Amino acid sequence: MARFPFFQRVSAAPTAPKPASVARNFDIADLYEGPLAAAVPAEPGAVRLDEKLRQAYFWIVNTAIISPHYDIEYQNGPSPEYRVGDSRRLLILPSAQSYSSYVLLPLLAFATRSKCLFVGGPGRGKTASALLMGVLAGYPVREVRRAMQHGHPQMTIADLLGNPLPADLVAAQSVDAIRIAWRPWLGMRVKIVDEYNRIPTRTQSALLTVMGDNYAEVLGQIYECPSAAWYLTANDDAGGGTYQVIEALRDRIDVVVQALSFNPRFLDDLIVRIEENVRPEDVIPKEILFDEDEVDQLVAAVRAMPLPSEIRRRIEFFASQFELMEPAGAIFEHMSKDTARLSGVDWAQVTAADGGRDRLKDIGTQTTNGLSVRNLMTLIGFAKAMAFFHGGDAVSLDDVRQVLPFVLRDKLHADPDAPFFGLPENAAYRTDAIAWLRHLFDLSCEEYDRLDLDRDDPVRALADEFAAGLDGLGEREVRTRMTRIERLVAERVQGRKLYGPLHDELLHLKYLHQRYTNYLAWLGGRQ
Amino acid sequence: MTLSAVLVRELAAARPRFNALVATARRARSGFDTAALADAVAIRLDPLAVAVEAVAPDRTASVVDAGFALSVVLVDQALSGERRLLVDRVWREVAVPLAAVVAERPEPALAMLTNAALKLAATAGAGVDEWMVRMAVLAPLVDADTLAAAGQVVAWRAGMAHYREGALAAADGLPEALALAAIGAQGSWAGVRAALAADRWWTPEGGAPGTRFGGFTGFGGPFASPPEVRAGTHGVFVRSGARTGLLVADAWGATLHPASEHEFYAALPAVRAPAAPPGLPKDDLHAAITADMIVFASPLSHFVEVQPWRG
Repeated sequence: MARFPFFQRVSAAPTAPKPASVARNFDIADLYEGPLAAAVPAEPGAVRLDEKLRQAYFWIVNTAIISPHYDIEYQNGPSPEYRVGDSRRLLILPSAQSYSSYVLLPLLAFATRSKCLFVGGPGRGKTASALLMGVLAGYPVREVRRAMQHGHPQMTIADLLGNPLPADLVAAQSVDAIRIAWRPWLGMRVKIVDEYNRIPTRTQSALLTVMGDNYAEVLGQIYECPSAAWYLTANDDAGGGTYQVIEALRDRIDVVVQALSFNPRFLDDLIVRIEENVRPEDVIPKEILFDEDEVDQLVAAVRAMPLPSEIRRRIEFFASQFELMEPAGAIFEHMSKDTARLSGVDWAQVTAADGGRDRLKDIGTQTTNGLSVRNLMTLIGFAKAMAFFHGGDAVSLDDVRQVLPFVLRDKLHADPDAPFFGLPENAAYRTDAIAWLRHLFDLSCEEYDRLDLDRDDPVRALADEFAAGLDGLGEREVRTRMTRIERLVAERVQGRKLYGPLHDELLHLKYLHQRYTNYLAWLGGRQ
Repeated sequence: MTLSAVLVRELAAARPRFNALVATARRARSGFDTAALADAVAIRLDPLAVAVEAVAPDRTASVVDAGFALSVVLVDQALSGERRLLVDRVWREVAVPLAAVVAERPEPALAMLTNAALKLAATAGAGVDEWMVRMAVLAPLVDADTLAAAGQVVAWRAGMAHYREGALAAADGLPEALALAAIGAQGSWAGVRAALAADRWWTPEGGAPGTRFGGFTGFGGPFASPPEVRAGTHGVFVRSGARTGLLVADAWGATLHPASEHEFYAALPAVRAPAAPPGLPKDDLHAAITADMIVFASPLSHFVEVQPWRG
């Protein structure tokens, strides 16, 4: 062991101090914790997984990554704010522990076994960061390097997945008898595909099967892959590259993080790297490595993180904003952007017909699509992971706000012709997708607060009433409830423009009405 | 500063390695203070090298090697002046008397003593000087296997009241003579242990009268404003300004630990004080009372008085 291990210093726990719980257990071994390591050997299993994840994060930002950008900001009180430059952009010195998205999001992808895409120009450490994640999962550096798939224009399915054994190809009497030499990377719990946008389209389809369905197929032979965290890199976020990335493959990516620029003020750290000939992946401290069981526990713990109903309602309200496209459908259920897209009609033509709504106020007009179920599941998964990492007891609104832009970056597409982007103060949102998405969520929350939906949401009250169950409910009560629904629908549609949340509310009311109608029919059939 | 011949010899023998270590540290941290390292070598390492040479000359090289590396790490940590002086003292006043133990396991022993002293100094209510004096006195009874537990028991006695349970368990694993010496008692360990476990206010010298805890943050104390107190199951919750803590106390001192606002308000409110302890203003005096402890607090003082309670 190096006698002066700067590169292996792990932040002392707790990294996010919180008051202890009522049942305190003062550990006397704590006496010997301090600036000097090796005072007493750490007890195995003593570190909690969220603490270990934070220690991994802090090791990466403090040691492995030079000049991290703290762009995920938390506040626990007033924070100094400064307006800078002609654009008067806001610089905040956050009052609470804040994080670097470039390190944090890949770690959250690790903790949720999700798929993370690193984007950014060449030489910004995308591949090195992906490599670090592989080593965090306990694999030797050499093994991670060898298992990394490098996209190139000649990459075949056999290069990616494996080859049939030549002897079997000659001797086999049936396809079933041909054995395949599967590529070792398929069995790893962290999979890395470098420059995935240089892979030919046909091979991308094979990759899609592995990414989406967790199995590989060659000549009818199947290889079941273990659940894994995926890290892909690309120089171009927009799907460009040697080959256009197929949409289904892009859609499988859960989170996109951008490698931000290097701050030359940290050049001295770079010089140390050169002089010491140190590569971070070679010196990851063993204290922050996760074995397979720990990753399983991590994934389970993240899933178990509660999502309070008041936060869920804000996510629902946000997601409601984007799918509605009134002129696209003649049937109420079909008035969606997806209907317009599938029809093949020119987008500008459809939006031109969208009159009546305030296109500046309606945030739904800023996008050309809505959110898919997969997007929402990913958002919830990452919000839970963020809360877990942050040491929270449940997902907070801030957790959702922080992860949302990174999850939706490649999913919610801005409509550059929307009036919102025409305003001079919003010009930067055309190029800064992360800032735009965060702003979008803030606007949605402002509208949610304006409508006072936390306290006054009659549709929610009807849904809760229905959720209590139908068992033993008499016809009279059911008819009363249906009348209430009809009245509410009549009230909601009276003299109001149709916005996304209202569209979803009305569909929800229709759903409830239909359930009661069916129940009524069933009751009638029993008598 | 003149170095002893022993240290000069060891430094000369390992010069390339030590030079490389310092060069690495200087490259890694532009503000690395080489003057502080030179002081550390002269003030801390030199007396230790001499002491080890006297008891185990074949281990001097190992001790100097470990001591030098740890000194580099400590300089890299850029400890404040006061904490640096404390490390100087703990190496001279505790590690030197324990030279035989340090000779046996140089790196863990020095790290343990250093970390413990810094921890005690950073804990309001604990007496680091007392701990150092007692550890030095115990030195003839301590070996490499008992150093950790002895240090923990003495830390409890030096005011780390929250270590009570752990220290009793640690003392159980010590030779009887050492356990009794660490506690400052005589007789049988079984009897002493039973008395300690039964009554948190028992000491070998008799029942303790209690302790005074607190102080204004401006003068280095833990309270920004006069504290309010409430009685909890594991101690007394204390709230001062926006901060809440749990006060754990026994015969040998009191320590404060982070607690939540929720815990404070869930605890039993203070009552009008049944008596007035000396040192606190009598007006509007309140007290939080647990099964065996009463804590007096006044809106006119940044201190609380902790006393045994046998209600």
